[in-house]
Amino acid sequence: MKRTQTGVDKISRSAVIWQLIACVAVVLPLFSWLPAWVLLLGLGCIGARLMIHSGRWSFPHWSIRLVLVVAVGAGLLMTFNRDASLNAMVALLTVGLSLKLLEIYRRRDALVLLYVALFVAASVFLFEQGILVAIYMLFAVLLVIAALVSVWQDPLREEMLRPLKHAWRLLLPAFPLMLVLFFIFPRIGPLWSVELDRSSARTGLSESMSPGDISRLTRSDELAFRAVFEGAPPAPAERYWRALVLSAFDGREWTPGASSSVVEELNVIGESIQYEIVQERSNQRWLFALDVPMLAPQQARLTSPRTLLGHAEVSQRIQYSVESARQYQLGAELTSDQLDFFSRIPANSNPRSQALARQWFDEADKDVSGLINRIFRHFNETFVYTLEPQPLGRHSVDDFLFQTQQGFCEHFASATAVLLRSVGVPSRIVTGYQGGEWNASQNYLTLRQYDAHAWVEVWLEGQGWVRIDPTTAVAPERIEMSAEQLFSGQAGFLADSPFTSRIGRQGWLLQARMQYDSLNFAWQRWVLNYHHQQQNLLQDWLGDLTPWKMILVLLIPASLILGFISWRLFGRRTIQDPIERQLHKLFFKLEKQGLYRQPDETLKRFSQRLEQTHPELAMILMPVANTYETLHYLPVDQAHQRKILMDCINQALKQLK
Amino acid sequence: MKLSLFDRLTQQRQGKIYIFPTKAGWGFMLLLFLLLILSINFENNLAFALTFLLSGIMVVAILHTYSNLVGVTIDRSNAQACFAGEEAGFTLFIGANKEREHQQIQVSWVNRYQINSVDRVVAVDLIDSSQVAVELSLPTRRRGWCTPTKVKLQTVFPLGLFRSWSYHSISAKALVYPSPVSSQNLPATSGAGGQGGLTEQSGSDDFSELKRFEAGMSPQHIAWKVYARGQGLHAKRFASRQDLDIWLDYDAWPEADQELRLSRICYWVLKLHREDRCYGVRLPDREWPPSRGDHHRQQILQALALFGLGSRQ
Repeated sequence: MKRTQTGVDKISRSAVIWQLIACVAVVLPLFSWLPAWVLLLGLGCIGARLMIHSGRWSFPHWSIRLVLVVAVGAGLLMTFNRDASLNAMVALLTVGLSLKLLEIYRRRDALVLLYVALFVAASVFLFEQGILVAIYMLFAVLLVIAALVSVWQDPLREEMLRPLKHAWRLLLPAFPLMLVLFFIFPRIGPLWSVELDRSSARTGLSESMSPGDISRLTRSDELAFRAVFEGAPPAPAERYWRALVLSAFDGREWTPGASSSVVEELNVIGESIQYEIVQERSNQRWLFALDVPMLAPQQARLTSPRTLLGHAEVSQRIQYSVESARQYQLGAELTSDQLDFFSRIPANSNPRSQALARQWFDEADKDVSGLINRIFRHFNETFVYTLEPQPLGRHSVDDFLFQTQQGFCEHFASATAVLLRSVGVPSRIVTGYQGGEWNASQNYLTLRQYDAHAWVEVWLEGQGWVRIDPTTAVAPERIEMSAEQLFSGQAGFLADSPFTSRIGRQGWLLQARMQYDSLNFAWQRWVLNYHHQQQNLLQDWLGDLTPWKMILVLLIPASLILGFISWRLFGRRTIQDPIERQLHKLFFKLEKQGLYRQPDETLKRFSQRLEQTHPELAMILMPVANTYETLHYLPVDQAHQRKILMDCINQALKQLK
Repeated sequence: MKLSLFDRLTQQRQGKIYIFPTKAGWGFMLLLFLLLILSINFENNLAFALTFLLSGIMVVAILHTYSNLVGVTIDRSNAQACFAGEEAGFTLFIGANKEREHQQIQVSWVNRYQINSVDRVVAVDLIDSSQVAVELSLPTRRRGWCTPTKVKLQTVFPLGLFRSWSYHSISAKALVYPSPVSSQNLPATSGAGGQGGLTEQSGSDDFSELKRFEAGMSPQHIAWKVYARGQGLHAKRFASRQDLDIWLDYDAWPEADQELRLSRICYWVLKLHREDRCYGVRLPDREWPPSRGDHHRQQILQALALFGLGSRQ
């Protein structure tokens, strides 16, 4: 028991420590996003505050504080060059927190500090959204709340743990309330557009393909997208994910070429397959679909060769569902202009290849499939499938076919298409991803950058575009196995992520990694991208959404939770002693008639007071008062006297009716 | 005479608890609003979650602040007498169920006296104890009974977002004596003994005897030397004043009004008591024959305090 005058609005010494802890906890996850000098300033301020706390320093003079504020302001202006980015905002808040730390000793200061700390806590999520960061932030908020409790406790109280316990008791019941609100709070679009100040580096496939582009991607195990299936996924050999179709060749590089606005016609044969794609940020416009999409999702449109082109760059993780045809006839009827476009190559490029193609075509009696077989056989004989092929010159296909004879999928695809075009067979390159790692626990395929692939589509009379994959000729295992199984021994594979990705490729480590991955994915789908699911989910659970239903869904769980807390907090006031309980009933009855016993009034004095105003009630109460006093103040047989008192009270209760 | 439901609801009930956001609470709501805007604009579900978590905490804080005051009562109270113009001291025993903790219960008067309430707020914690005594003082202006109307118990614990408060009346009342006003001389009319005027002089009369010290004797007369010899506390008695009865007469100051007369009597009572002399008091309606000691002084002071006020308080 302690007692203080609260005239002085000071906070306790332990509260000062709590402020420091709260600030550090909140700023820590922003570590890598803040300029080094801001972190140093923060550390310096903490150190200074600790010196003040231990009494070795005094609070800084106002002139020192002024100098600090000016210096820090100038520093911010110089670092961020006056652009109001998110980083700048967070740096500003952090700097403010640090400087404020120096001068907290009153409640007001501490409150400002903690409210800003909570705002910083929210802005952490603009940078990091991982499951671990979220769990960490939950604890950080717990610490901030503990600091807030410590601000309001007795300024003389020194225990450190008491505020934490109290914060825990506040946070625990708030958690289910949060879940309810999270579940039903309507998500509306942004009120005004905001620029997320993230790196805008493009990742993944690029818009053109020259030798070495795809093999470069195998250096990274960065996530490209995940595809969720209702049932079983397609067989590995059918997992061709189209992203781009490249139709123009300049002798070395493939580009999309002039695009037509007419979407090629698709005849679906047999079953289609439905799936949902959660695509990572790529800062590129294209989306992914299994060969070949039937309709474009809301966020994109179909291009002429049936790839998906987003309305905007994918600057954050997006989610869409697609339906694809597994067997189909695509673009069966092409105009002669189009046929001409798809078989065009620069006349003077790769002369030896063109000659070879013509020779083979003649040997095959002008049969296209015969030519394709010949090409594949040739690849199969002497070619090497490697991640680190030798660089190629200006006539890349000539160099590849006649000199190096080693390459990655883009080399084989490019060579095949050039050979086919040399004899006037319409063909084009498709880039995208092939395969994927199946996670059976959550039914999804994970595609990473090293799954990038390039293949060829050839146009055959009466069949339309047909997918052929020259890689199967030289390395059929690439299609059957996952890329990482195949390449894990090769030097260039995952060169950019040297350590982390190499472990856990087999055995229980693989299991654990898969579990972690599926957890992460579930986190992304159900928490980070919940707004995509919300509408459907609410409709599934509640049927038609009316405002009334929403209110009920909010109120019923909320009142249950709050009711439970109230019961915990003040529901257990049941009086153990039966006599006291009966007496309570008696007083309650009197209270209903407007007669209150003063808290410091004995039963006797109360009934004496009643005598003046309500003699008839006093008559009833007086025997109770007398026996009560006898019981408590005279040396009598307790058990017996209790019984008498009990009878007395019951009598009075009866009379009061 | 049963009260109607309306009456029961509207009367200010003893210990009824009110609750309302504090300034810090409104500030917190502003913070929540800003966080909500942030979450909506960045479509950031984790920021939404944080906003909702803090909202949940705020709602839970209502219950905690409320429950911090539930069951806290003023078990009993007592008061210390004082002189008009001084502060009457009240001791309030704040009690609660021992099983639950109550922190930072601020005890103050209901601000009806236009006093600067900030320095009259005392905050107490009830942790591991079921009762704690709080000293509150109340300025007095006039003699008589000083009866504080109500005591406000208030708390903002644990988060300072909400303030809950309740009113409690206490039964203690403090006796306020007239403020002592000195007068150089006692008027010649001092009484039946007729010993004439007595000027203020320090009593250095002949020492007559040692008496065992009893409560109520003036500490000035303690025989310290005797005490130092280890023979216990004794008081020195002086013979010369023993037979000299002093009468303090209400009618002795015809020029003064009632209050001034009472104040002067009060002054002399205190002075004579300090000097451990025998004195009697004569008021228009009563008189006390000369005597000495605490009880005597107490009786007279109380009579002075309540003189002319009747029995209405």
